[in-house]
Amino acid sequence: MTQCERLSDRMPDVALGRSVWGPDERQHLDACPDCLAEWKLIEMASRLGTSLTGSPDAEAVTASLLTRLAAERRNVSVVHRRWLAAGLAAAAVAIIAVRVPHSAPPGPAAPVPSSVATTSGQALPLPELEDLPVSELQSILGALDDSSGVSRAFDDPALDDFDNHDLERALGAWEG
Amino acid sequence: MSAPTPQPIADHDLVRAYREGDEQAATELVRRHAAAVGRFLYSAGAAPGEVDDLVQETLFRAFRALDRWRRQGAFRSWLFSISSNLLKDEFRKRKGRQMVSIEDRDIPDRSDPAGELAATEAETRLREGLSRLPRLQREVFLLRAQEGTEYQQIALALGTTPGAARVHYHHAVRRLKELVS
Repeated sequence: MTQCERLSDRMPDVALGRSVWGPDERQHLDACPDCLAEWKLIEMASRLGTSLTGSPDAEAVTASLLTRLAAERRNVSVVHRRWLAAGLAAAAVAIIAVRVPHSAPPGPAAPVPSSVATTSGQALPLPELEDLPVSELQSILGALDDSSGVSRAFDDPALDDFDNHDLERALGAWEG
Repeated sequence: MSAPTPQPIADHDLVRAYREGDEQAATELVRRHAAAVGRFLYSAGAAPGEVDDLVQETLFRAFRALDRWRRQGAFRSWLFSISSNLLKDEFRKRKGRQMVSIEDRDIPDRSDPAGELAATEAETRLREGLSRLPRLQREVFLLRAQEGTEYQQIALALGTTPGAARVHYHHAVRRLKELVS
């Protein structure tokens, strides 16, 4: 390691007051313009901003910091809850899409709301479900289960007594 | 015989204490590092009037991401790294316009007006030069010149090797010498 490299390595410590130049080093600095220019640069850089930044009020800075962090945690929590609700709503829509075709009556007379399902079994976009809490989504699913009970009307033992003509009349009446 | 001086609590212990709910630990971390972060930001080209806000933002980002602090690097070096990212974002927002400016607060109160002006000009040139350096060169240089951080520590903090950190430092010195002298 050359004398220039040794001095270069020590410059930050001397500039920060952690060390001092020895006589040999001082002599080298006086004789070496390159090292002297570097020393002036490091000295200036070590002081840069000292006249500008005093010690900030740590208590005030921390109080502001903690308030911001708490506010952000609350926001994150709300966003997470919204995503959870949206996920549940999407899951509910998927369940409805899977279950409705199996429970729908073979005829078009079943009173399943057209906003919930189609006869082709395709799920409809249901943005209004996205904001519903889980309990209400479950209640909708329950209602769908109940509505599928209409199809059981076709299994009514009373129909066994109908002849073909009566059955055709009943179907005609349901179909309007 | 004097009583032994109590060792200051290490940064990583303060971080752990804060994460366990001790807000005083956060205050101590701010007390230790806020001014140094301010100087770093100013030296790297932040406008004096924006330093306080940038310090706040740096600390906010740091405390929000404490999980990501790798303890092998010094906490302050990690803060500098966050500051540097923040400053880069600010430069980008201003579409490359540098934030270096001479304001009243920049001018130190000295009795020699001519010397004062020369010093201020040199400092401004230094700050401009620093803000133009590649990021790693700037960070290594400021960690060495303002903190006296060893290359080993710089390498850990910045995810490089001590040899590469030394090379970055010397490149920075060479370029800054040309600008300042």
